Amino acid sequence: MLSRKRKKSLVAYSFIAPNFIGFSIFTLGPVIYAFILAFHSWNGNNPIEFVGLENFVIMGSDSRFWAALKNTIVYTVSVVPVTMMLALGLALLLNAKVMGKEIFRTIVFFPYVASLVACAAVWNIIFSPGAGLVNIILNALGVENLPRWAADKQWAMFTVVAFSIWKDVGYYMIIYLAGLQGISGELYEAASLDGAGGIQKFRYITWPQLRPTTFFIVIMLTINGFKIYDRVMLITEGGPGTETLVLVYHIYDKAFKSSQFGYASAMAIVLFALVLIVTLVQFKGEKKYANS
Amino acid sequence: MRNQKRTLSLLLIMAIVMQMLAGCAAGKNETQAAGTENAEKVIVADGGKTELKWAVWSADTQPYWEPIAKEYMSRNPNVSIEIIDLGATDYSTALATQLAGNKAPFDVVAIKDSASYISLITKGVLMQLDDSKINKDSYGETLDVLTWQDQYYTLPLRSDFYVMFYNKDVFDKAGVAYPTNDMTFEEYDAMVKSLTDTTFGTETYGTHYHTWNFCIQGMAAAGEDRNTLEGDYEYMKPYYDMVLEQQREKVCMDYSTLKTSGLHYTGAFGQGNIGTMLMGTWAIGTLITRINEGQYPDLQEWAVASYPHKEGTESGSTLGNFVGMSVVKASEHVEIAEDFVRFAGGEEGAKIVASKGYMPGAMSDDTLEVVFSVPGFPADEQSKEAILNVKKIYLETPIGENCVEVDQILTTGHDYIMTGVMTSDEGISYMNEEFTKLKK
Repeated sequence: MLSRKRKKSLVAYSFIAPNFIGFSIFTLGPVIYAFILAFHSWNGNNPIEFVGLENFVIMGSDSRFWAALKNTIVYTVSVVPVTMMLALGLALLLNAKVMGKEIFRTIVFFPYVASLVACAAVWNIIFSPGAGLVNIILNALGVENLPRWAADKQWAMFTVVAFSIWKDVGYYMIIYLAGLQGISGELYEAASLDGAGGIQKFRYITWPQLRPTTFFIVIMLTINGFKIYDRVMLITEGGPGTETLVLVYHIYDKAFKSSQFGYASAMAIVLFALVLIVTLVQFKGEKKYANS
Repeated sequence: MRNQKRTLSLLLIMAIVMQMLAGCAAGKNETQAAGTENAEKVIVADGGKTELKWAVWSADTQPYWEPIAKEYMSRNPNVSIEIIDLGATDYSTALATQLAGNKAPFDVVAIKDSASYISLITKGVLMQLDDSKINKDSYGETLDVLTWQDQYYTLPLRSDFYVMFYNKDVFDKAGVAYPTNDMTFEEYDAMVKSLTDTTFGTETYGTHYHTWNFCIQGMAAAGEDRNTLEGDYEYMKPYYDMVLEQQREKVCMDYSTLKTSGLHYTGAFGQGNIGTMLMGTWAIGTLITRINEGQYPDLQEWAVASYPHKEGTESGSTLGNFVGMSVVKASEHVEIAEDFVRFAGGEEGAKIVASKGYMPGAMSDDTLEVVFSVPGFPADEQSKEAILNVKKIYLETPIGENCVEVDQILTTGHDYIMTGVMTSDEGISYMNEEFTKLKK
């Protein structure tokens, strides 16, 4: 007869099992396979050849890889702080006694649940260089040299970043709202008694109390930022030139359009390492901040 | 009470595991069919002992796939053909992904471009066709260009070439004479500039180029009698400069805007405010179908003329492309598949293709007459002459050993030049450099 503890553990494992088995087969397995494939060369049909570190050497001189790396970092660094601050700002606004705040919350959250493809198509229409709403308004305001947005060397990344922020801010706002509502009202009362003003309340109560929420949001935003592909694909297709070419886009290109599965896997490992390092740094930072 | 709880938890666990397994199976099917997410399985007939799976694109807008399958099945009642539509946009990528791992989800595949063709041959996916059973005379030069190391891997179902589409109403409005079948690139340039109207709200574009790299690069190759697989791309400079100037002066639509808006070339021409368009003869068939559906009310009188040629050479050189029919080596029904490929890519298939207004691979004078007599086909004397006078076709992407890699370099270089990231000189240097790197 199994001991009670054993039985409980078994029950627990059996609940985790379905998800874990699925995870192993469809995620963990392929990831390990990709790790191995990174040291090989394979085009999908011909035999797999071992090539050692050759893929990484090629990566060093692949100008598109470096452009993709740079763009991915630029994208992430742009999206993370802006989304976070905007989400926090909106959450603070829509947590107060505002008339119709439920409606506004829905409006802000709606892009997150709307179909990505539909949103991107509409975004491209609004930002269309020739007949889009944005340029019509700018034209009416007398702006010369209207930017060509998604088709413009200087503005393409901005267009993609703006789209991402607009699409996601609702989700992070909801998370912040939940965090805000978890802050005990007594803290604010005590602060009022001590004569604290609005900004001081935010600085000494709201912000520190929200730290776990902020930490979670920043991690999620960072990881999603590095993994970005679908938005870039839909708004600019990586162009013009290599202005919005991001790592996952380049990996997809090399894997499925050029059939270089080994090289693509090597780049995927580099992306994995990058995300891992950044996440570890964030975790360490959080611990330090918590102890200080 | 405790026993009941235990039974309940066990039942729940079993239910979850069963669901997960079912989900796994469905998931596996989903992953297998991931490439065919957008595919619609068009089953043309049931019954029959041998089932052939045929990969195509745009089964709904390309009107010849189904009739060819139906005709073959009516002649061979023991065969049933299932058409699988992989979509036009990423057809070659989806096809390559589906065929990876040497599985055979299809028995017969349509080949959309040279790069895909060469790539599939080098991966060992396509089967060599028995050349003793091919009636080579019906193809002329078209078939020769498609051999690989002296073997046949595909039969051309369609063999298209580029012509100059022109909108008669735009010419009338601008008071410009219609194009002739003997225009140099300079004359073409001057003509399209005179058609252009840049007034905001009523823009008229003298010409339209689709975003494909070979629309410009192939123009250079055809004009200068060069093979784009051979590097040394300085000859492309005057052509790029001409097009870039046209783009600046709004004689044609801006490349970057076209890329992000995804405007289709027939859609653009169908809007009725484009004077000319250098495009392949397959667009004739597409225009006819869409006009019949009433999609382009603003497009009235249109016809085709010959592709422009370089000053000092004769008219008759133009760009072209093929649609091939091939057999997948790993298929379980290779003999029947090969027979179907010979049917579709041969004279029988040619008749059906021609009856829809598309240029077949197995061309003959009779087949050409069939094409001309399709209602809606521009069958005026000049258009006919433009089509009959084609002497040399330069493939959009020529067939050669380094076809796939060169194609990537050319596509990237084209994008850099047309988006303004690089000037035409810088872009050409870039392409030359990348080409030399390949040779090492």
